[in-house]
Amino acid sequence: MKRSQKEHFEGWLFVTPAFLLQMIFVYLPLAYAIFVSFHRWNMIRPMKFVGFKNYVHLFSSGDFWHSLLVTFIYVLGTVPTSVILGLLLAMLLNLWWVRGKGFFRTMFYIPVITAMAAAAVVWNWLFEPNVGLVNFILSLFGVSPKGWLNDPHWAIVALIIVGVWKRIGYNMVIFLAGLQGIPRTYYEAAMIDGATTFPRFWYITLPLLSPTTLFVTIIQFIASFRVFISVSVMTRGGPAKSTEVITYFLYENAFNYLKMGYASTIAVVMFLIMFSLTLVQFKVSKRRVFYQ
Amino acid sequence: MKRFLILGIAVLAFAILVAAPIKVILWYSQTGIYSQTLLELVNEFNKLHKGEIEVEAVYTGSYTNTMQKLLAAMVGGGLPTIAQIEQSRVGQFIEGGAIECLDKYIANDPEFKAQLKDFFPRLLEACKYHGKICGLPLNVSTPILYYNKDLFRRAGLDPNKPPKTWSELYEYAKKISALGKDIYGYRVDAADWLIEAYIWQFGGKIISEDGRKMLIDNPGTLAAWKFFQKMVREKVAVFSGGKAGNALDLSGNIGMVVRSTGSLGYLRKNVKWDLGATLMPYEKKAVVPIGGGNLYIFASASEEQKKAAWEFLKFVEKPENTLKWALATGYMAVRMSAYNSPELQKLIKEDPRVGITYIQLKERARRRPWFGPYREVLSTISDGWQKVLTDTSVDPAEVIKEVQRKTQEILDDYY
Amino acid sequence: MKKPPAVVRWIVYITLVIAAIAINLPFFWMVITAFKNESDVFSMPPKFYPTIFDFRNFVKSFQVVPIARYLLNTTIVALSVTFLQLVFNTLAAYGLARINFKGRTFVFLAIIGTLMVPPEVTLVPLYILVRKMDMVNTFKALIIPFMSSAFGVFLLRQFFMTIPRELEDAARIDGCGRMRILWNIIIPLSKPALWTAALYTFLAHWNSYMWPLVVISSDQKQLIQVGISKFASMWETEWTLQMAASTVAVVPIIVFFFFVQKQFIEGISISGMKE
Repeated sequence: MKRSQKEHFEGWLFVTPAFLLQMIFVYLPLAYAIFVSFHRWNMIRPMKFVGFKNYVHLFSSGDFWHSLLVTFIYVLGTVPTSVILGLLLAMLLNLWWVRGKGFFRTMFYIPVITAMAAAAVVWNWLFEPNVGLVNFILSLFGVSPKGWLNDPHWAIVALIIVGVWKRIGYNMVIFLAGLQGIPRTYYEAAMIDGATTFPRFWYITLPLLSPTTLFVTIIQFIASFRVFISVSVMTRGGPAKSTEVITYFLYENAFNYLKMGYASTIAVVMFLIMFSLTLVQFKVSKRRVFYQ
Repeated sequence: MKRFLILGIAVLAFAILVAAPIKVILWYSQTGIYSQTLLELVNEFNKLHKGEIEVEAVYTGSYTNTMQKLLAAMVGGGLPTIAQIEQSRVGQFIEGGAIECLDKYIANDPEFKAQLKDFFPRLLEACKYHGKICGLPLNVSTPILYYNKDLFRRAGLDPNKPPKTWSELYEYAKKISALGKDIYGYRVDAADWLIEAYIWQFGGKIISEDGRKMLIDNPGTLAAWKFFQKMVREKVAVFSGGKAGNALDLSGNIGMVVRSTGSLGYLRKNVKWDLGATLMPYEKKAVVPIGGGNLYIFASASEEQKKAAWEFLKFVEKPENTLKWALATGYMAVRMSAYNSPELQKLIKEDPRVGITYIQLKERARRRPWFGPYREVLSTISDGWQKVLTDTSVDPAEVIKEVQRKTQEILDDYY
Repeated sequence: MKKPPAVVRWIVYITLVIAAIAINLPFFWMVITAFKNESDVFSMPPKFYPTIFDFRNFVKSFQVVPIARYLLNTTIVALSVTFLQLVFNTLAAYGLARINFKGRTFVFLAIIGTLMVPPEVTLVPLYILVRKMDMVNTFKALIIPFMSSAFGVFLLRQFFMTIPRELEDAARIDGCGRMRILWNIIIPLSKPALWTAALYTFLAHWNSYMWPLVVISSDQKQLIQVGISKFASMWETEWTLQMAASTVAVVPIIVFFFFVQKQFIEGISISGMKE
């Protein structure tokens, strides 16, 4: 009993500073946003209470459901691809006989370092349908040119490519750190048992890496759900709303249309959706993730 | 002793009060050469008013980013004295009483009042809100038609006879696009002010004078949208905007394109083909929009700050300074005396392309709608426009009906 | 261990090289553009090589805006945030990973939840808050609200959880307190994770744009990304200068990463440890 109380006290002692900081600098503003979501407010004139009107409006708005759909397409296109490719590169760079690891790691990491705003500008040129490099390279392989950012069907694909590009290195480094954490004794034991490469990966690496994989997946899920800079620099939600992800929808309402009440409503709903989906991921992973 | 101390403090306070210049904060969105020219003007002003007024210019990012900074300060405090705001974004600030209208200052300033006649009337008109002057022009421009004389020659067209109407432009563009697979006669953009221009030029209307009724569903709009959709469908024109559009323009594969007159300097410097420029074409009505940003004073500033800000505004609008601005940036000089100055006239004589925007300004220019919810209306129109041009099988009539319905809802919700 | 056959090695190397080239196309393009004349930027067919062989674009970009000042400011801010986050995040992550206290799940979810709050909508209230605390237009506004981050806490918690519990139990039997365990056992074993967390925090703040733009109103205190954006107007950007400035903002980090990456990827070896 005494022991548990001590643990209780110690636990709070460790988490309090971080917890308090988040409460003050994230949840207090969020509480304000929740308050604002029940109002009509353009940030210039005083707020006007409107009850649930913004929520009713949001759920009956085709634009909202559309942006949610676009977001899900983006998330589904970006997360699995970047996680798998990141893991693949990490595995390759973790092979003991590969030389020039430092060089390759740095190369793969450069997109992560580059500020998205600058990178998005360059991608804009690369995707230009007539003079851009991407179509030029595709043409070398006999692929017909695509409209990319000017084509409502391809624009989202272009954004997914940029998203994956930006995230691979990020995931790779975390996986590499995770792989380092796997005690070599496990592999040594497996070697003695005569396990070959694939089973070794499947039965040892993957389970032991599962906390890392969970982390990477959730972080990437949240990051892709919140994608903004590439959209705002490359497509501004267009053409014809085909890339209007939810954050861009929110941003437009807040700072272009000056409908902060409505924008706050979007934010609150977005928060709830992301939070429940993250909880689901934790629940599902509980059976799969292997902690020491 | 005590009395001495009080006296000392009083003297000190007085000295500080007198010595400390009034601080005027200016938030601006200009970058590159535009920013440099603005800062030069600010420095000159500060030198002239040393000890009295000090203007501090702060860069606040693009027009949209500036809105974020402005709105945060609007709510939390810390607004600047003056801000440069893009014309279509200022509506709710004006309607919310955040902007100080200048009539009071003009009325008390007979010298300046007399000079109002010297401003291009259409530019001044674009600074009026509900009949009052509430800002003064800084970076203003109109769109003009740029064309590639080399492509004209190759297509057997007279490079000195550019098209005057959209129908003519279509014929020209057809010939140019026949030159090759990657060559297009015209580049259509999704820039807000050009969408407005196209509608107006085909005789269409967008919104009522009082900003409460949408008028976009009309034969003029339909004719315009059908016209450009057809050009894109036939691959006579290419639909591309923003940075990629700019890359396309420079590549030399585009026969004609409409862009701001402010792009003239940039294009002149960076294209490797023979650059022509002329008036923006029209069909039914010869009209072009005035675009860009104005300088506005915030009502929240103290009286003396506002007075000082007014001095700065007057300084920027002086003939010699607006001339300097125009010469350095390619934006328009806002005063006729600056336009008629030997420097600018000589420049126009040497390069007539510089003068095109002034012809438009005198005869065709028109202010853009500015009302509170207009930004949202504009993005709905823009979505419709993009839909029509990215999928050329779509029926523009349907899309315009949908746009009319949606935008009217936006207006009804706002008022 | 024996090396795999040559074919396998070749396949691996070729994959790595192709991936490295493909991934870095935009970056190469950026650097090459920094060594071009403005009029060569959009030439057709594209020029895959530099057209000027000196640093004039860099020199010019340094003349136009005080990049050195921005770099210094950004380094100060990013390093402070990184250091403070390491302290607070490590403490919290350890508490969440290893101490079984009441409300643990709640605290963990609350911290993770902050990742899902869209910053666009908290911008205004956070500005109000920071202004009430009288921090507007100071570095404090760029540092204090970011002294802890859910990302860091989550990352470290996940790594701490993979460290064998037996190590800790042994130490506790020897009478070690929590802080000593953290300091002497957990932290040395978590070097890769700590480096990773530090690097990501540093990068996030090195590249931050919106918040410094809103909260700093003095050029002397501004950060690098806002500074760079001054080159970009809507379309008629001075591309060569902007790309030169962007290169200046990226290269120090790349060099830094190249030299320290061994630290956090090959920093430890658990194999020799007693289980």
